[in-house]
Amino acid sequence: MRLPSKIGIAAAACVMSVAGTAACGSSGTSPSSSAKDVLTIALGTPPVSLDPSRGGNGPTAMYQAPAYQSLLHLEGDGGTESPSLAESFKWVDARNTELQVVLRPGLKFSDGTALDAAAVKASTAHFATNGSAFAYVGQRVASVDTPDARTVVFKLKEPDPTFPNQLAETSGLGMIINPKAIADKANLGTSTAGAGPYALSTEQTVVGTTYTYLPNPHYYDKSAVKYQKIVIKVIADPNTALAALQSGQVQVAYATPAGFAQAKAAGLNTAAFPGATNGLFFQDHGKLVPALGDIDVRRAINYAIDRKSAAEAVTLGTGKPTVQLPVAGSLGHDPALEDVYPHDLAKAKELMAKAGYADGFTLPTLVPAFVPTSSNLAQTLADQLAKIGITLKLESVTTIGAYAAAQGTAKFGATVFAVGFPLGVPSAASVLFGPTAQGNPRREEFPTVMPAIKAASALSGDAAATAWQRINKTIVDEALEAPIMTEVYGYFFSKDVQGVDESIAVNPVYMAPTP
Amino acid sequence: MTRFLVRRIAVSAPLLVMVSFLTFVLVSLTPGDAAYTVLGAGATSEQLAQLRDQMGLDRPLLSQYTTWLGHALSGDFGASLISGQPVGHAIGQQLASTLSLVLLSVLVSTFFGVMIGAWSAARGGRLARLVDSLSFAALAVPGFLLGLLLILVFVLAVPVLPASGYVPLLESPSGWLRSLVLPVAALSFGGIGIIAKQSRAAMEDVLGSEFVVVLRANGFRRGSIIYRHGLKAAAVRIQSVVGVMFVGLLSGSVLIESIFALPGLGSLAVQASAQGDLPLILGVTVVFTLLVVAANLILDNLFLLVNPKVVHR
Repeated sequence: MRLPSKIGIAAAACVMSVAGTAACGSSGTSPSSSAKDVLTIALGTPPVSLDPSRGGNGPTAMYQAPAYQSLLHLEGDGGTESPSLAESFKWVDARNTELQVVLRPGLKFSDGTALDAAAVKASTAHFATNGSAFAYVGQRVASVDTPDARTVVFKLKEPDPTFPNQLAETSGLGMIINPKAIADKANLGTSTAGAGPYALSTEQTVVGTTYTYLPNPHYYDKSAVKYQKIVIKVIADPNTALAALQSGQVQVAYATPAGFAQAKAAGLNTAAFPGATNGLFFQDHGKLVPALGDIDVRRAINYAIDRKSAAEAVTLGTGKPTVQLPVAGSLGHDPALEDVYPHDLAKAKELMAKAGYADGFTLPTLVPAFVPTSSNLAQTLADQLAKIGITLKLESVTTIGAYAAAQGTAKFGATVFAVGFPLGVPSAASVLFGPTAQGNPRREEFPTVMPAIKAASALSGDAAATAWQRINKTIVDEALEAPIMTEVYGYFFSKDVQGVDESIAVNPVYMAPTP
Repeated sequence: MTRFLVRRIAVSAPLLVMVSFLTFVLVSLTPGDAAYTVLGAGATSEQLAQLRDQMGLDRPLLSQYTTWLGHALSGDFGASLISGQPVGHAIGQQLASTLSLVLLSVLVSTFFGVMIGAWSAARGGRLARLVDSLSFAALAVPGFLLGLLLILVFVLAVPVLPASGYVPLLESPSGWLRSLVLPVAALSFGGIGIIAKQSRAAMEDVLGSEFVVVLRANGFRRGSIIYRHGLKAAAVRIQSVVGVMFVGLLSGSVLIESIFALPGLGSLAVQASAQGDLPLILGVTVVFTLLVVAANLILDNLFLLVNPKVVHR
């Protein structure tokens, strides 16, 4: 009886270890690796794909950033761009339709192939046609001219002042992919083919769990390579991620509202940036839910919301109440607008009665259960709006796929969601009001703002700032949406690392060991 | 014996087909497929149609399934719809950590469960009642909660163990063990309770039976009666619980893997389900089913070894 079981256990252990070593390699926890050599980062979710065209923006762009340097880089709070793979860039015309980018000399992809203007053109075409959530950014490009090997001219279909920003870390468009890898698309999702300081080591990577990056031998600036290895670990549980940071297993970890107090108490550094705008976004302005077509009803909703207590409850005080879409400091933001909708139940009821909805109405609302702050906010809103007779009929979905499918049915009058508007009102315009915008499933036309948005897109400088502020005022005055709070997005990091808070586009490449 | 094995394997084949087909149908019925996951909200119907065509999701369900089955029979489980990674490779990368976690947890819960159960059956009285209460307590505490508590104690308060991650056995045996101590403890806790309770009940029956009286009358030592003869007689009952527990631990591993960030099949299954990644879900389901079938086969054969009187039909 004893012998067979021993053999069984030995065999099982052998299978395990063979599979284990073939796959994982170091998981960043080996005692020999010090914080000076290896940078280990904890993120909450794996990337959908490593292909920059499908990777998504925000925190998951961290997975592409070490390997795919983008043409431009977002500076500080995200308002300005600096050259990165590019040596310089400028608008050729005054209408924001032709952007010229000059590449650095001698750029090479991680396999040694030259990165030239033709490669930029091929990468842009791939981005626009690969079928992804951000393809619309690439589709704004009418053509890419390549007058010489280092010069690229992006000709846009319509004026777009945000385009340089899209070439930075905002979308994956500026992350140039090796044309060889595009030709053989099979491995784009699980390996990297960029010109960044690092390249993914497929041997030391377990897709969905651990992503390991090693220095790219062909990178043009060896001094910019600060670590021998960067490891990004997926740690879904925020408590575990924070514990891993506190125990030194990782040096950087994603922040959650509940974690801030604990991180500060533990003496950790925090990098916090204004993040997504969480709120009630109308998916309809009168066709499905007639009440939403009435400006008084939409204003009543804005008056009925107690933003301060909602922000307190949902983000534990880290979020800031707001009535406008753009975050403070971004294009079109106007501090004066914050006084437009104070919490005023009497006024809200009066407006509801005036619109003929004294008895309220039912609002079918889509809730993403996978965005905890939005899902909590939906419950809070249901309570608050019940006070003026509005019944939020909440329908929760658990995955982004199910959310997109539900939104596509156009059965919902509203959705509670946290949406990032990194460029202020222009971002909001393209995400919520455009004819193909993600947040406009019923393809509404918004005649009061769309013409102004088109006109403002062709402006620059002070004229642009004034125009976008005026558009923002219209959006708020007409209560086209009901923004509620600006969330905080950020990271906790140990004393061993610096550069985490260098830019709002948190990028591992800019992190370095503390001297 | 050989006939028994052949028959069991023959029965398992239709089971695999059935489980994979049901998984296929259920996942296909869930709203939001992989095309939606990739394209996100705001995808136009043309974009969706184009991507579904690329992914092969626009074909009739049955034809999609038979194609998958045909390839699966030749060992090709396809590639992830989202990342493009071959499913076989993805599972190969993550199988080791799940097997380590679940097998170690089976060993730990069986060993401690049997020891505690046998001891309390032999002692009886208050101790037996205490074991009963503790078993219930162990069953009531969810593994993930225990996991978080363990992290609090052994990672933060007394930093002796890592909070997350998996170290392959061949890379560092001690690292492997260290990376698994907390997850195994969290996963086995409930199992120890179940096994202890079952072992105590089985042992009480055995210790009250005639052959034990005969052994006692013949002057056998107490320890020998309990741990050699008694345990052997009670083993069949305990083994059948271990089989059921294995299945429970396999599903319990999903949460534990997520808490301790272990690269396992559980986290793979969760991620694939959230993304509507059909080939990956099917691959993981097939492997989970195979593991359950294999575990039951091994346990049934152990029955034979422990008690040759057990007849397989």
